[in-house]
Amino acid sequence: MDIANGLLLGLEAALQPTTLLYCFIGVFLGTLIGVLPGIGALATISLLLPITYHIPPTAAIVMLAGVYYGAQYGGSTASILLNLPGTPSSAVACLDGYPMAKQGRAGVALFMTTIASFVGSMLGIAVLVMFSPSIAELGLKFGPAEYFAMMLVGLIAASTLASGSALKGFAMVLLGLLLGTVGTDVNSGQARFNFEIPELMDGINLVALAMGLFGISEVISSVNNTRDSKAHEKITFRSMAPTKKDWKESFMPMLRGTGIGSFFGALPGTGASIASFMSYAVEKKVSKNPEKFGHGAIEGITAPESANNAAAQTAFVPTLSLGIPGDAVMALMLGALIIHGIQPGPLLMTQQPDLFWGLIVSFGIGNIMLMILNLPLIGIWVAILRIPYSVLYPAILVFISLGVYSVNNNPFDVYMVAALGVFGYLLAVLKFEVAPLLLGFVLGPMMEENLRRALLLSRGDMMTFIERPISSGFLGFGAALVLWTAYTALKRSMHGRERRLDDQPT
Amino acid sequence: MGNRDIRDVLAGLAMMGIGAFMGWYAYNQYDIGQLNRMGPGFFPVGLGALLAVVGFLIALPALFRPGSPIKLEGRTLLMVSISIIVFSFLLKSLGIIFATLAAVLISSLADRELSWKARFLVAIGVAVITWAVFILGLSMVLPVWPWSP
Repeated sequence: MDIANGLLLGLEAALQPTTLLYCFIGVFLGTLIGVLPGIGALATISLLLPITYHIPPTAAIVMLAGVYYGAQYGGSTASILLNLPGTPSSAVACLDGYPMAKQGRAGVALFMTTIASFVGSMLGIAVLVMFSPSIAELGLKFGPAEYFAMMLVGLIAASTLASGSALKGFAMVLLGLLLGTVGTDVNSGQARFNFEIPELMDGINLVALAMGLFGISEVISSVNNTRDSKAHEKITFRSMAPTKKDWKESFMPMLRGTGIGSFFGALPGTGASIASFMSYAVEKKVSKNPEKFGHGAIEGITAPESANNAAAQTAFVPTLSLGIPGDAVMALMLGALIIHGIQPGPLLMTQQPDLFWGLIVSFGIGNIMLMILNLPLIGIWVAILRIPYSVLYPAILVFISLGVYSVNNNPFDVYMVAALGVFGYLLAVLKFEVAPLLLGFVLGPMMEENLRRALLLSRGDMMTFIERPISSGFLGFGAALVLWTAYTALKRSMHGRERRLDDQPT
Repeated sequence: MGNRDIRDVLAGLAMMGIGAFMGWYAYNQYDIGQLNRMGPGFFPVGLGALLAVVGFLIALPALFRPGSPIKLEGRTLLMVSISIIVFSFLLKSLGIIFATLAAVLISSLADRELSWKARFLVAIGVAVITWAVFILGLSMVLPVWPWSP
């Protein structure tokens, strides 16, 4: 099927009233939780996972995806008005967005971030449409060795390119892989790490893990943290009008941001947060007057916003065309597909074309909805920022508990969430990033399966990973990443300065 | 030793502990097999050993550099986890209304600045919303009151 026919088919699927409704619910919720600091896309998607059991698969995935890219729109609102990122990927928007608000240009900043988000998303979708079919075709030629090598590179990238220490990221990936081995081993039927608890025979519940690690631990660290700041600005339509200079200064940065975002989004293991940091760094480097960054430079918000939205769309490239999730959100998305009995992979496009193309077209429709939600209705979102967190978090906790309970109607899963929440919070206190853990957890069983199969086929010869060209290419890239990280870490400790993103005040 | 990077020392030690335990446990309990025919123990043993090594590499340099103290929200941690456990414990016997009221009251203790009146108002509000979303909206089969079937 060529792209034009695919898009037509997708249009038909996406314009179904149910799909449209769930698309709207998704982007609406996405904007809402993006605006609110202290609850993120990961927590919301895991909260919604149990609910999607009851709705058709296409509508379910469309809604969950809408939450993800909708959150990228909402995230910058809190960054600009409160200097407090609504989502991790909009942390960069604080650097120039908040100074703009202090200069009385909050309206312009909000307007331009929405435009930048829309441009980045739409171009990101174009990249997704152009590259997915050919990557899926390539994926059909992949054997177990290639799959294993590709997942390995994804995990290396997730740990080395994430913010914070690469070693700690790597530890999280390994821990995730280990947690993924809990449960019955598919090859031998042997139950692993079940410690005589019957519920653990099926492994750790993905919903419980995601909600514990992201939902609960986010709540614990936000309760006494997010109270100081309040949004006072009144945003009028007049105050939102950007000047000609604003447009001119944003045009190229938006395109560059989209390019950077598309690349890092599609690369397994990296995602929207890295893309927005990278594009900010690039803008600062190419700018003729870099000293204005940090003092309300408009390209300092438009470029990263385009980047994180483009990345949110292209992140679907490896997920949909190869069945390999690139980050934690995509891992949940993959989980949702599997829950609905859909096996993601290179065959998805040919076997379920209405799902694949319907999803892509829904991205376009969802982004148009987001434009409408974010421009005329911006006042509502600003008002929502005034809801105190002390009202929100008890509701979040009850919703999480009920959501997890409803998966199997088993209180054990809820106890598991409490335990994993405590564990996730302790990891956060020790400054571990938990997103790579979830990625490792989802990839773990697939990696083990492919490793076993590859070595069975090669009769135990490890050289198979190097002799096969695609696999050795992946491994070479992974090795280069490791060497580069080790080199920069060494250089940094030689200079004796600690420069970590997570230690910087935002 | 006063201002060493305690956080990363602890972080490394924790990873060493988890990795060593899971690797050792898998080594003793499950069949390792060979490269061409791996047993169920192969993958966990390898991962556990690797995690222990990585943990060591995190902890070692942290011993020789200064760090900032660890901030732990102990009260919040306790209240939040108790509230979840109480909720799922009461859900089947007392129904979702009372379970929600109890859970919200406990979890709101984490927020020191909230008054008791506000806590009760939040609890009632959340209970009504929960009932509306899960029972009315999603028609989940759960007891609403203690006397519901």
